[in-house]
Amino acid sequence: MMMHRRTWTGRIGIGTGIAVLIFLSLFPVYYMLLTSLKPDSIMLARPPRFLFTPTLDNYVHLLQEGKFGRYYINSINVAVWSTALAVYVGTMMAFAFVRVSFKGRKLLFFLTLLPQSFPPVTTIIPVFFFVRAVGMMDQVTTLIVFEAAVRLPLVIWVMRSFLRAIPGDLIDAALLDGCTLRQAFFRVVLPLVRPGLVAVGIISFIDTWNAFLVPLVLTDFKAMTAPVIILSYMESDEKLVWGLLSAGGFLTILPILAFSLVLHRYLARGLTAGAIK
Amino acid sequence: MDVQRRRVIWLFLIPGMAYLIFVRIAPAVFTVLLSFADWTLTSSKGPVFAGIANYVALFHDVPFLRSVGRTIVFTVAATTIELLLGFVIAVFMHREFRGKSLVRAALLAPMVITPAIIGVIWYILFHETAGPINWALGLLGVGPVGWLSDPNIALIAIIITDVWHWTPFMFLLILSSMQMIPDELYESAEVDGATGWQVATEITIPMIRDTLLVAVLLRSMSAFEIFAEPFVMTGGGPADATTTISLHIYKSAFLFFKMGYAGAMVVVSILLLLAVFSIYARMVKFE
Repeated sequence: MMMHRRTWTGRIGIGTGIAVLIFLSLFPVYYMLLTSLKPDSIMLARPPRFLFTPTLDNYVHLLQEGKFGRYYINSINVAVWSTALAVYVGTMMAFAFVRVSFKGRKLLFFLTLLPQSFPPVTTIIPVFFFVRAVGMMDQVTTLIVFEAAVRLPLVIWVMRSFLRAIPGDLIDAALLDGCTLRQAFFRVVLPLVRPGLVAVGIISFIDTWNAFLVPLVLTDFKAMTAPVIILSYMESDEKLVWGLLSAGGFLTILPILAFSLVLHRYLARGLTAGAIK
Repeated sequence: MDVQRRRVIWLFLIPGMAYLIFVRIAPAVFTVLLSFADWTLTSSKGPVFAGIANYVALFHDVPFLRSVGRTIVFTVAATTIELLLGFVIAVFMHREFRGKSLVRAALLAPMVITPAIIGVIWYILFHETAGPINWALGLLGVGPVGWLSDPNIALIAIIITDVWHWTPFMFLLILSSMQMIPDELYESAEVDGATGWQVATEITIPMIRDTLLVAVLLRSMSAFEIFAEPFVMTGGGPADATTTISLHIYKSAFLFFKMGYAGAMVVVSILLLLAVFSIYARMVKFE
């Protein structure tokens, strides 16, 4: 532990620094929350109003006329199911890469990680054509299948390092005891890598929830996700826009903020996975 | 165990592999093929092989070249500022105090927020007449600044937004690697009477050098692809001042339906990324 001489001035300096950092970090989000609670009459007031009687009008308007609930549920479905699919498939693939040696394993492993370096824009054009040709436009299922594939390389990469730590004897013993391969995988292996599954699950959920370009291109109206529908409110008239935008925006980031506050340890571990030796 | 091995490969590996190839790798290959085709969705003709015509046209396409230059300026500026701020904040936070983990969680929050919503937040904050930023500047006697309406300033507004969004990422990586530096190094430096500046330049920075390089690499690669924030805040305007490469590609493909041409832009932007990537990779490896 480092020793610091704590003088009064030093303490005040540190306290002030922390306060300024927290203000800079959280004020923008706080201001959006504030805007979402403003009545229309003072929405564009000059100077901006910080004290007023809060109203839930914008949220009511958002949920009733904007039908925001429908799109919010789309977002939840896409994020939950694509995370489940990516973690399920990715962990099995990582298990195969760790436990079985075969010709060309290194090359195949490289091939699975390669798409991690393709940003969404690199594949969106052919994907758009394919999805349109087979009549799968504007469907939640399409988004789930595509987003899960985007998350797959990271899941494989992170889970591989967790699976490596499990002794192979343990699996062999389970198989000798008469477990089937599936039983050994689900009952012996998965419980041992639970921290990895949680970390990679949270990151996949957040990344999918935050996705913008792909849902923007592959949906029209029915399967839009929360961030995409909020933008369609921008086209209505100025006054109403800020209330709807900020109310929808706040609801959209709420689950993510909750996640990151409760589980920031996991999150830090997962986000920095692979970046630090 | 040979049977088991084969079953693991067929049950665990092959289905996932096929899925990945079909959804991610094949479309990437197809994009490259597309870049050699003349194909506009609005005309009745199908795709026709065009050789390198798309690429030749790209090098005379001033709006495209400008968007490349703009994206490079954005990437370098945003990454540099985030690196410096992230380092300063990490040095500041590298001490013990009450409620440290809560403060850290609060500082990391911007990093996970939905990019499109970050666009919404700063669209409101930067509003020329009713936004709080111009109000605060007004109190200091500055402004009003046309953050999102002045072509000379709009890109700066996007950079500020990105700095708010991603400085926490730099801070997180740098702080995590600083915590791995053994305390004895600092203690002996203190005994030797080293100044704060000497400690930073002779102990901290050399010890976390690899992390810094990786952080800069990861951050500049994703900054290069920025899309949602300018899409929401300015739509690429005013007068294309915030049209980044991704935005330019999106517009060419899905507003003007020039698919082959947009494919060529994708390939060029990926080649640029790879060039940057290989330069960094060399720096990390050979020194």
